[in-house]
Amino acid sequence: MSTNKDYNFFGMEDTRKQEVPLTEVEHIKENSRFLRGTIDESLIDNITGALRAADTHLIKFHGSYQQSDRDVESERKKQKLEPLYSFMIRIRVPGGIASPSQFLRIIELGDVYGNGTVKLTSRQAFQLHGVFKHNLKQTIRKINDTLLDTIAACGDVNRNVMCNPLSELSGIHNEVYTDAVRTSIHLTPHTKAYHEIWLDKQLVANTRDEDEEPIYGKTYLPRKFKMAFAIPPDNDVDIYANDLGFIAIKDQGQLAGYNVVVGGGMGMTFGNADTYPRIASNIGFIPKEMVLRVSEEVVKIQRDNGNRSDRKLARLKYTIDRLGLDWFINELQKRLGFKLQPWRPFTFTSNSDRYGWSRTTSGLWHLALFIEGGRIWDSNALQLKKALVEIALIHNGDFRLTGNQNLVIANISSSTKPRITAILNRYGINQASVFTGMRINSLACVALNTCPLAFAEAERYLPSLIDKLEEILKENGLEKESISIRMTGCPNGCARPYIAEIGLVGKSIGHYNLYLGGNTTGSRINVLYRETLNEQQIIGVLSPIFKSFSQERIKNEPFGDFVIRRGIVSEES
Amino acid sequence: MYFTIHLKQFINVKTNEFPFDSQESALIDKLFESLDISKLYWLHGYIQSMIRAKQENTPQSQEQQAMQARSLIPGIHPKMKSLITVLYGTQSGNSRKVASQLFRQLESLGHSARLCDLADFKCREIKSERLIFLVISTQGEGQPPLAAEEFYEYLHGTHVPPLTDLSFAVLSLGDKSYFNYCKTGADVDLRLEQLGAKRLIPRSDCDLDFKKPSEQWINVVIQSLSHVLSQAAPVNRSDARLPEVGLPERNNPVEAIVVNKIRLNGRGSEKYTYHVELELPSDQIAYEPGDSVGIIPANHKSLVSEIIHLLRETPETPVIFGNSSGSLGNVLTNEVELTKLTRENLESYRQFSRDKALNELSQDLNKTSALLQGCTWADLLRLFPGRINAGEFLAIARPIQPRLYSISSSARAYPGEVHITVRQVSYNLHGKEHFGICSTYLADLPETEDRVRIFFETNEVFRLPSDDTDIIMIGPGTGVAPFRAFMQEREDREASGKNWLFFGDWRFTTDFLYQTEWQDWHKKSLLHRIDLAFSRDQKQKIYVQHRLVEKSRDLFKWIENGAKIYVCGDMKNMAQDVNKAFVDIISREGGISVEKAQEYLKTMRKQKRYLEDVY
Repeated sequence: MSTNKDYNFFGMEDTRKQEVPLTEVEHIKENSRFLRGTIDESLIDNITGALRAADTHLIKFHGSYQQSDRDVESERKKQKLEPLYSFMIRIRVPGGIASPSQFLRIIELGDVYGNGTVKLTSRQAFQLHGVFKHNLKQTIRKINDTLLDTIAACGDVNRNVMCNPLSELSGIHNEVYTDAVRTSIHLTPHTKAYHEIWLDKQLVANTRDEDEEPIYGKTYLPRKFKMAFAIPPDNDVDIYANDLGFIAIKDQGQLAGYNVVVGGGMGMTFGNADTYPRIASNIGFIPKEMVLRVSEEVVKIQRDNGNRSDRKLARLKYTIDRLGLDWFINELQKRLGFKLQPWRPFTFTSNSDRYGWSRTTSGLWHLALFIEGGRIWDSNALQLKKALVEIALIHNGDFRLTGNQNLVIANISSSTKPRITAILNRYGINQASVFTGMRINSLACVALNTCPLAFAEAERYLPSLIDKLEEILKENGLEKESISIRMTGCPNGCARPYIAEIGLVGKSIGHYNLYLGGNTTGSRINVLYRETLNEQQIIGVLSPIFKSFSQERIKNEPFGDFVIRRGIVSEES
Repeated sequence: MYFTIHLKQFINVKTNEFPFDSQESALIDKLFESLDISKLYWLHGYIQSMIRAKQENTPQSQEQQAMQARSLIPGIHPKMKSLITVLYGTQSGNSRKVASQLFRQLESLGHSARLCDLADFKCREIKSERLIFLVISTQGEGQPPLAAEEFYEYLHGTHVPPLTDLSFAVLSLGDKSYFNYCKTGADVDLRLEQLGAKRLIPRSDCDLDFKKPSEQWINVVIQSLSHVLSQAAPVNRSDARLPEVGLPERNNPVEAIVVNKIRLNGRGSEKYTYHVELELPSDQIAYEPGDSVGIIPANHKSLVSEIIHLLRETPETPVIFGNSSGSLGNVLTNEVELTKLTRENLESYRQFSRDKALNELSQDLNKTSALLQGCTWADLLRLFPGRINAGEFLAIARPIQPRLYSISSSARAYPGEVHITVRQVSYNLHGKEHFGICSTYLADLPETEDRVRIFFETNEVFRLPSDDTDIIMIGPGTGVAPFRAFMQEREDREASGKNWLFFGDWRFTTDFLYQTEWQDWHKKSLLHRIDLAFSRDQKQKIYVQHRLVEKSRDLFKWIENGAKIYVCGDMKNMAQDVNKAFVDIISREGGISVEKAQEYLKTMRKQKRYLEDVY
């Protein structure tokens, strides 16, 4: 048996050692000339609907994933056709606020170049799906025409920065939202590659390479980086699932600064015990003026210390657990040149959306609508897209995307309110209060048929599973109970299933691992309860738990707390 | 039977080995001569089972086992370039890692081995393999990885040959938390044994942490291999070639079996183009790229019953047609040309129909031509009713006409098979939907097992040039068929000449015929250039001739360099447009007048450097 060390076939060596080789993606980034690669050549190579292999990694930094329609993959292979490649385009909306004209344009681009749907993501972004390669460039150009963009929506960089969309009553929403947008701009890659490739801007002469990315450098981050701002008591951005989170702290009605949390993240890999979801750790308080510097230094610590030899262990959470939280705080303080202040008290009450009508301090109206699976489309049963287009045409406020894949029609004037209500009624778009508490607290990632990572269905399947669970909830008088249920097609956790009260993570077609015991503020990791269940088994396992919950709960006790108190699962320390 | 083979012809010319005495050989020849193809197929299976039964019933000594181990590896098949094939079927890449590890070790030990993804493995070539090491994973609840699906299905299908010359070992990767843990590997392992292949070492199943067990398996493979190979005497079988046989001709068709039929257009396409693979009665039918295959179709049921109805007859009526007799239904279905009418047909029918309009019409040559266009006997009988009975009708009808298709396979690459590429024709005429007889006949065939009467028609002109000559192939739509054969042939011959394809159709995503094969050839640098025109992917229609003009400079260079041009497909529009495009190109790039360019092209035609196969 040869023991040739040159071949790291199994990726199982201790990746913390220095001599471990860098991942392939690191080399691709290094050689990409700041994310250019050969994307422009890939785009005009018309023998295939795909990009060259290296470019499929680089395109993510530009906001797009190459995907293929897995429903037809097998039959096309027999037909001697390559997979039906298309592209998902993720559109950044920092803080989740978009104008009606932007909203209309995105819907239109989905109709013309995409599959006729728009997905509202779990991180306040729009997603177009099914864009063919030969339409990719013009789609991205037209997105930029709306003054939204796609750069850094995916890839090993700071992605769309989240912020509670509906915290007007706090009085500081505008200020925190502005900080979210500033941070987003501050951490956007500087490379001109995006403009050259998609917007046909000329290469700036004599640009020195070193000047291109003052924060990231030419290999960017080891892995994706997620950031959010939360304004207590709302945690609808799921701040603890982010690499870096800022929790707004008020002092005498004014924004004083932020509690900082670091090292949250959802992803894990089945069969790899070194991977796990993690709740972000509290590290202290900073004055509001320091938010850009802190975000930049946290990004740089991760840039310099993150694992670049194993992408499965590359998120900030692993860097912190490997080097220690104390080390991290010291390093940050050293780089900042000042000490973090002690953590300040605050309370989160919910990570759900505040559905329905609410009135702003300036007398305008918000309407938070439940959008199942975050998908805006017209089905035979419901013409949601048409209705929202009609609303956007008369609406003079704005639209807000929530971290729970929902949509807020915001700042509606009193005169428009009845007209919007009339449109919703005409199309039969129900208020969230009509649905069960479980359905309006459901999240699902895209999964099949387009996500290449999915082992199982999620968005296309969860609604019908909830139909069946609702029957049991109704038998037990629990239909109005807010029980969060989140489903993903793989363990990477895009719909944040590991902090849900009920998490379902796809293992194979029709089979899921069942997790129980998240809480209602998104600050507790749930626990694996049963593995590889089919639908019948999911229902069979949950039915008696719902029953005892309805009979034995303490008043107002949330479902996730109940399963822990009763020892159905034991909270992980 | 169409040709005769004697057992004696299978003598190994080098070793003069022939195990039968003359009495046995005469007996066998006599018996087999009288048998038709279907009986031979029966016997084929019978003999296989007989071999297996005899092997199983003979108790084996250690010595015999060793003997068998020696005879396991009968030498490299003439088509194979290496003795050992390491195959992998992977989804996540793990099986590839293990397979590459084994492959590298084999190489470092000096074995002749190749490494192959099951996705790229030509399933039918498994019969030429001698030694296979297979690493394969299992997906979800027991499915093979996508890349191995075709192989898995082929192996479990009905057309897989006995694999008695093959030895193998399987390593199976999986995840124990699934119920059907490592199922694919187990299935393949069992199936290979059922097909008569010899298992070298027992299968090994690995859970997620596969590193140790897979290394162990590799060690055992290497050990067993050195044992087997050191004892195996190299046998060169490349001289044991079968005799060459001629091509079955039009008057002497043979029965071929449909072994595969695939629609090439993806979901959502308006086109129905079929790739049909036919198994020939012999491996030795050596057609050439550029040849055509003739298919003798059967008429569609609905057309036959309409004609019977119009003749006011019943299908059971016994009739005679030429040399054959049978029920009217059968004769009309299989013997009579019902869809392509001649002027003579029309003229003969006129006497039975007193229809004035038909009388007038038949005076006008243009009008009759127009009428005959796409017109069936049913149309004629319906539009111009007359008093005609079945016997009279059969007296003026002509025998069913075979349809010719440019062959899309090379006999070198696929011995014993012929592939065709057929687009189903349908059109509306006289207020009725009409279907092309043969394309519909083929499209309606079941995916496997049906028999088709075929023959070959050689095309001595539309031939590949010498191996070092460059070729430019222009084949939009099904016109691409012969070029697939060209590429297969040139790949097999390792021809050094460059190849350039122009292809076009409606849409890139669904109508790019044989897309993955062209990509594969392109990746291997066998297809040097490929230009595509998809007419409906944008507002203005783009066709191959537009792409030709775009590439005029390089094309002219190729032409001046001696490249041969091949055009296949639609005669009416495409061939003329392409011709015009080349005149433009030659005139522009050669700096000569249009007339001179036309001369230039004419000379190319005369020199057989501009060749057409158009229809």
